[in-house]
Amino acid sequence: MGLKVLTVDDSKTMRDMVSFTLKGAGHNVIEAADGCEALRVLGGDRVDLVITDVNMPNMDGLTLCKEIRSNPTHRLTPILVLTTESDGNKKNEGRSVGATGWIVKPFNPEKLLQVVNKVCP
Amino acid sequence: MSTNDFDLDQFKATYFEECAELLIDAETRLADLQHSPENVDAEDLNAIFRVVHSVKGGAGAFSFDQLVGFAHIYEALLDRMRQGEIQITEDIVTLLLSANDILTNLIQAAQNDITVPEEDFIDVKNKLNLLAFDQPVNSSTEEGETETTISEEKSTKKYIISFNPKPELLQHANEPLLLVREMKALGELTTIVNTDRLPSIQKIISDEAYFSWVFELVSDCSLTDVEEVFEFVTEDCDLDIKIEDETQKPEDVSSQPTSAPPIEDNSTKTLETTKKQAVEAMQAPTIPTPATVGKPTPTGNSQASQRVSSIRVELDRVDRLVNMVGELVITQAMLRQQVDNLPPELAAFMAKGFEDLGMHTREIQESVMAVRMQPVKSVFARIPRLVRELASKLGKKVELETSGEHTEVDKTVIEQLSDPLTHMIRNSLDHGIEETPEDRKKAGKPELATVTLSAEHRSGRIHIIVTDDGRGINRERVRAKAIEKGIINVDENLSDEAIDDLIFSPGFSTAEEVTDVSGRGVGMDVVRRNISNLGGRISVQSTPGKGTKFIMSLPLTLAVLDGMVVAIGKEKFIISLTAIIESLRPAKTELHNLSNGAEVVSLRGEYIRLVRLHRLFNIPGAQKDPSQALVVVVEIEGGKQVGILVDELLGQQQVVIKSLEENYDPVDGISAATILGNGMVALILDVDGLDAMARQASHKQNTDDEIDNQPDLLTTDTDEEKSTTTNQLANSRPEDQEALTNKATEEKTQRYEVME
Repeated sequence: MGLKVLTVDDSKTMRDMVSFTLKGAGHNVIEAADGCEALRVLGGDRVDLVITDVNMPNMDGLTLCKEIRSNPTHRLTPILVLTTESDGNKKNEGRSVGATGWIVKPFNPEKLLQVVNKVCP
Repeated sequence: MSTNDFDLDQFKATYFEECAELLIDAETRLADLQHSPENVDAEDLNAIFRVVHSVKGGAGAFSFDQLVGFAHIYEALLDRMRQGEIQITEDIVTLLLSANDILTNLIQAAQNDITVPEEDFIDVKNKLNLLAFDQPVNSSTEEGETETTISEEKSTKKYIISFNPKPELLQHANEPLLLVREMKALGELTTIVNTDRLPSIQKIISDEAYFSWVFELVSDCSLTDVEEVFEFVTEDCDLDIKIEDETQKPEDVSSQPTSAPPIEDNSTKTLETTKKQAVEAMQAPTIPTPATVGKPTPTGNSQASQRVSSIRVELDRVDRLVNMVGELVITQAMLRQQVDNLPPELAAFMAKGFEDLGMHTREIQESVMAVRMQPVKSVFARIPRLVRELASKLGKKVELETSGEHTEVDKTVIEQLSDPLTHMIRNSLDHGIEETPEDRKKAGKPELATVTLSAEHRSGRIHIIVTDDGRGINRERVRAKAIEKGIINVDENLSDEAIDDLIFSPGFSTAEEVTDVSGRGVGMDVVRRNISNLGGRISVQSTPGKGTKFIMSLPLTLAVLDGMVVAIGKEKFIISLTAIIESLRPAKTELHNLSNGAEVVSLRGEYIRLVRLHRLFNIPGAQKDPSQALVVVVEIEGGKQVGILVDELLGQQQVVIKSLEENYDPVDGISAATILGNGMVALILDVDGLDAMARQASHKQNTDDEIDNQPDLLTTDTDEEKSTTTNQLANSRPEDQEALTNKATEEKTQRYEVME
């Protein structure tokens, strides 16, 4: 059974690639272009996983993490943060706001599926 | 899925498209910064940072290494700037501008699959580097984790992993069970759980971590592989990984049987005693909602996607929709015509329904057209860079002012706009602006030249105007050049406007030498041709010493037109409603002939040239006496008016434009064709073309047989503009002018005001 994944990225290219990869693996994907849209899209619905970029207009990925964690519905939804560098800082920041894990760009489909598998039952 | 069946190339198109949009955004914001470096909007910097960040992200996925490398440094600098670590000065903005230009070039290069020579941008790169990392050379800028690649032999080892999660681990939605699963995939796993901390069930807090584990993993994987399992949780647990020889006994867990089954079986000794309790406890903290997580609510997905606020649609699909709506409009018009032919009682019955249908059709059409409308901003945004580059290349100081970026126009028009606009700007900078700032000073102007680019909606068209405050068109030189090129005769007497217009003649170029700015083998004639292919016009107005103004006028859409159907003889034509000012039947006394053969109608003191369609198109059976027919006054290029002589007005109708060029051949005086409700083809008049045709015709008539059958009010040597005529009249005979005006207003002409 496929997972329901929300991918959040202001770059359409990135959303497309994430989405294509996950759909290819049999998952359902919904997309949002920034944190605000992500929260709107989520609403009260549960998803199995959120994959979010950090740098986005309106609401960035870290704020999104915080928001998601503070919502009882999504309190225990795994969140993966896309970071460009394997930058220790970003990882720590991500962790401090409740991210489950991270995916280091550049985008690599195999790695993505691997990490998704890692944090999702 | 493996990477093999995953072709990244399919995303490249989206990527480059996105890059183009991003760059436009960055350009616009950089231009803002440039204008007011002392008053920076933080959001501008953030946005530019995100642009570069996104460009880099995608470039990484496609392995555009050169692009990634540059974007990385550029991004780092922007990051420091937005953190306030680096002050924004004019110099820095200039540097950012050049960095952006390089980024643009690198993206282009990536798109064309080429590499840009490093020396082309090494200067800027070094400068960026210096600011971003306080070091000039690009060395240790990649802050990548130096992975401890332990070269381990592929031998079977036993890992003893003691794992004691903290509450944060669960709060971050990590899941011990999944770690177990991952380890199991690496090799043979033995799990020992420690439930000592497990309180009684009433005291269990779901977020608290009560268990700790000791795992024994027998595997030939490397230590890194094992560490990777705990990659996300290293900070959220106490973790200790020991490697033990296969033969040795584990120290920490000697009391436990090594063959203990994995955790899923929940079968350790201690657990068995409190099995029920433990199962519940396990579920509480670690697997909070397995059932709901696994089964997404069926409505969830669709609901969620409905809330996405914008989507990208291929233009093809929209075009198909536009076409179909066009057909719908035609069908609706046909049906309505047939309803009109029904007996009155039936017709009345149908009328209400058709009114609604008409309204809805129109609404659909408008909505569909609105989908295609886009602000000209995307085209305008490229211009500042162009101006900057040209100005520095030409050694001129030029400032660009833009207005009306938000004016919307059909996407197809936008696409066609870029080239002519670029050319007009080039022309203004190269030929319009004085050679050097000193030249400008001598002419009493500020050193900094101004080029203005503006867009506005005017009578259903978009006007794009490029103005410079340069030296204006040198008419003597233009004239001499035109004679030299054989475009005009030596003795030809031309008005100033006509001379200015010569720059659009094929084969004309005034630059003494072909410069690498304007001289690209494309003259203004090509620009005019391209624009007129779009149903547009370009004209120039120039004042020597003061500057030049190019006006490009384009239709807002290339698909539909609000038209007035007019009849001449048995023929029907469409005149664009937006061009029509009014319709009237002039009295005989209002008609006058000029000595140059032109006929004019006096209307409220203004003289309007009469265009006889029946003569231009050779239509038999038309009403030739204007006082018995109708004159449709239309506005043409430059705000001038002409009167088109028609037999009658048949009604207002929205028509779908069918290109003549595509389906037949271009015809003078006709801009396109359409299909009327009765299925007949009707031609859409090009009023500017008609005016030109009428001028030629009257000019020819005048020189051929010197018809002069009415006493003239005035005599003019050449083709005259209406405004000139009026001015002359005003200058020479003010009494007559006044008399005529009064007369015109007193006379009750039959007049049909056409409302839009």
